[in-house]
Amino acid sequence: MRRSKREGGFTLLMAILVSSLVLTLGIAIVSVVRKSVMLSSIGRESQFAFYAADSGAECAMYWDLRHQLFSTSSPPASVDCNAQTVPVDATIPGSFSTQPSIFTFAYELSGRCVRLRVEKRHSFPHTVIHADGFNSRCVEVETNVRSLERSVEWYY
Amino acid sequence: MIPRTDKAFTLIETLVAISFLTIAIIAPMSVATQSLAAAYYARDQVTAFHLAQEAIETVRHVRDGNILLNAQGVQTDLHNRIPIDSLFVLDTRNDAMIQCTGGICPPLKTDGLFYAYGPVGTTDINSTPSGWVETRFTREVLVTYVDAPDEIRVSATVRWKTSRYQERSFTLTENLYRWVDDGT
Repeated sequence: MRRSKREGGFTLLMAILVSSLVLTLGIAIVSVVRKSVMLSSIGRESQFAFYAADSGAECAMYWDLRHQLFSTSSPPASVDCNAQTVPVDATIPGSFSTQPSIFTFAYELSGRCVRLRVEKRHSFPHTVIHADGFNSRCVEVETNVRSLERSVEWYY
Repeated sequence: MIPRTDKAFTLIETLVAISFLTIAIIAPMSVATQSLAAAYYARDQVTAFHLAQEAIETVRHVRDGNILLNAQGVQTDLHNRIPIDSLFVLDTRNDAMIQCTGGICPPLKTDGLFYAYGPVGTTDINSTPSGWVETRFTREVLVTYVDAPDEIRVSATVRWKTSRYQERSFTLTENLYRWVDDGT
């Protein structure tokens, strides 16, 4: 078969056109799926962080309601959560009527960090429990790029 | 007839065309196949973590219900109706917690609306009632004491098959406390 000069390279052009079309389609599919996989794993990790925070808040409330641990006159040195004894950092202000007393501590729940802040106030709300849950260990919360945080706050 | 100078050109052209076809068709095709599997995985993982959340919230709901009973003056153990140290499955519609025999829990079933083991009140978790079909998900819950008797750990494990051979699973845990004095 003899080709005319004008038809030269047409097959190549057609091949490039078709392949770029298919390639674009492929890239589009991959980017959509990649995002949905990321979304689903973020959803899963977010659950880990949330239940770490919730467990932490439960622990703080238990020690507050059952044992009155967060006392402003004799602040606790440590607290027991998830079979771990962790130190409590207490900040007791000079005048309790104007400033809240703040107790902070952190522990891990199956490798997930939870940081707690318990505030004791003179007026309502008398107690504020703030729990920050993470999906990573306490030491790598600030450094891990996949670190995810969920928080709960209880007032009573 | 092809002139002498053009003789080998068709061969090169064909080779170029074949390599183009290989790259342009087969590569995106295999990528699309892998993407499809990943998309199914993402879909199932979303279902799985919601199932795990449902299990934790059901146990918590039973515990909170017991707290309310105490608040109403009916002295109730906060862990009443929650099996301790034994693997169980649950139905969120009526808070039924049914222990698994032999340490193996059957897969969840669905009627297209709910994930459970049959109509509300079903106690036989191993057979599939009519109108219900087995799903790819298995959900089991284990409650253990961390610090008896006031701290329990609720672990909900969801397992599912991503292909014929591969199985994925994860466990969601929450610690619950007896923060109300129930007299125990």
